[in-house]
Amino acid sequence: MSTPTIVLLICGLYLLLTLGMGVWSSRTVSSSVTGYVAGDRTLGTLVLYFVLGASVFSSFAFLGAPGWAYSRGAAAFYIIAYGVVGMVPLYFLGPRARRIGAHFGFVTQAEILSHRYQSRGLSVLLAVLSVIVFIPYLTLQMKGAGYILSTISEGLVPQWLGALVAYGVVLLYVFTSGMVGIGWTNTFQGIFMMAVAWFLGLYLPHEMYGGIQAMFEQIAASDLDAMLRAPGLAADGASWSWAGYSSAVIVSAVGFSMWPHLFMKAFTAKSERTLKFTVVLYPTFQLFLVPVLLIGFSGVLAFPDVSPADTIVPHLLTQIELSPVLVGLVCAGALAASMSSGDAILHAAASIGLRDGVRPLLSEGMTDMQQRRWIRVLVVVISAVAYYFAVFSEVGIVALLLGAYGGVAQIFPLMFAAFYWPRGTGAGALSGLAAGVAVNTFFLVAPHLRPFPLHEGVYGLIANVAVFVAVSFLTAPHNGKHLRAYTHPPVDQEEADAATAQPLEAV
Amino acid sequence: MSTSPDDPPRGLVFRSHATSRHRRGVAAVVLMATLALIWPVYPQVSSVEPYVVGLPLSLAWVVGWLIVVFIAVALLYRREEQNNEADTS
Repeated sequence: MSTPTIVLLICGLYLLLTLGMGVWSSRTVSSSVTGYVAGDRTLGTLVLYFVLGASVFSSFAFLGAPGWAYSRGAAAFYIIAYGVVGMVPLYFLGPRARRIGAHFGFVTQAEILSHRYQSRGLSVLLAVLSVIVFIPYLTLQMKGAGYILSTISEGLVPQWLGALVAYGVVLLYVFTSGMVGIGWTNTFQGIFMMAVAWFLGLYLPHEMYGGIQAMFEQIAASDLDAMLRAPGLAADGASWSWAGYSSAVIVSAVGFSMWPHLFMKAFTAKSERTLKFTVVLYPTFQLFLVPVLLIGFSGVLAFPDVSPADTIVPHLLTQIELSPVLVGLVCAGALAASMSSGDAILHAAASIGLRDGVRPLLSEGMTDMQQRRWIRVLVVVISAVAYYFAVFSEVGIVALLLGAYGGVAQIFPLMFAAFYWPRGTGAGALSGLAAGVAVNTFFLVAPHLRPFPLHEGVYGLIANVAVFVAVSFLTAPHNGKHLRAYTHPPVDQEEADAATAQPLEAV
Repeated sequence: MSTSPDDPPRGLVFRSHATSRHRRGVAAVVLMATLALIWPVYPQVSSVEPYVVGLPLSLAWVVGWLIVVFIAVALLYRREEQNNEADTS
């Protein structure tokens, strides 16, 4: 059998397994909206761990991150740096959100915020912000999947077909199973991609340079030594500024736990303990970026001038004598990274779009059945839109996605104040968020107007907090009884949950 | 604007909690980690040498803080779970 055939066979097998697992898992969950969106709040540690990890590690992990290490050196360390502290807020905010969510029946981030601040406008604004951010995110995942399949098969599978097949599978299991489908497939995919990353990250430097330290020593001895000194290189190859590096770390750390598809996973946890424990374990997933960067560094001396830099991993795979079975496994691992993020984003975009964007605008409510049906319709529509952008459109989506972190970070002050600053009001929250997003977007599109070379999100956050605090003090506070649920969340819920919850797995 | 006793306080409210001392400790570690990973602290350790378990110092520093924060949050979790068990038994 020729190499492309073996590789495609392995990828096909992987896709079939994922599909089977995703569709089968719908049998374990109720047919309510909470079942579809939040897995009946029954996710255990193992599944939640991989859902959180995989939601963050997208096709960026196998294409973008090695590309950064390959072309910008130490600048890529920033991807690890913001994750060091980025998930910690979820340890404190997550359990409160989960408890209040279970009490009032919330399944999304916007629901809890719009209830706390008594503002439908906030819900719609958050829904719009989320969907605007999610579509390019999903588009990139699809492009990544199509790209991997077409490169590895040496063009046998065109890019449009690769993206279609991989995301056809995702669409099917997200459509039928919702959250639990994502949970089970991400567990499988997460284990798979971690194994692949560690294997390649340790194997390549050893095989090509005789060891990890030897590899770095050889880079340091070459004329590319500047790339290993933090903060590495900017996109144009010059040294990155410390102001740019530091502010990017801060904005990304603030925004990390606020990604709507990530934060809403707090509502899926079986118990507070599960959620906290998952956050505790999270850095073990973050460590997986180390081998990923090593893969990128291994290309620096061996294959200079690979362009664009994002293609370094497929390039390495086709250049190095690996057994076709291994190439197939790596390819499937990269598909897993793309799909395990894509599914969570697709599911969150549809759930948020309906629950937070459409429902608050309707005068009469929707039944559970109707909501579930419309979320599924949105799953199909959003997939189609993202697929259109991935295959037919040439809009620069990478820039849009990079700008998204600054936008997502603007949610943090609202989420923090929801629990810890009772004086914050709806008018304050809405105007603060609007100001933050506006300023962030402004400096994103007009970078030359920034007073200092800081990340645009920093300016957004300053505007956001200033407006939020000022407007809150100018408007009447919310009722103290209403706020009490947030500053002193109902505590009886956990025992009640523990008594009724159906364990999804035996952990 | 008149103030009534029902009005919420103007400042931040952190529920006083048996474990709040530990939570403050973790918050301090997280703050330290953040400062260690940005200007002006990180530039002091941004060189390639010495190598730490095969990694350049600039990378090993970041990974090191990842481990420190991991241990701090893990200890907090253990402490809080022990307290929870002590409460319920």
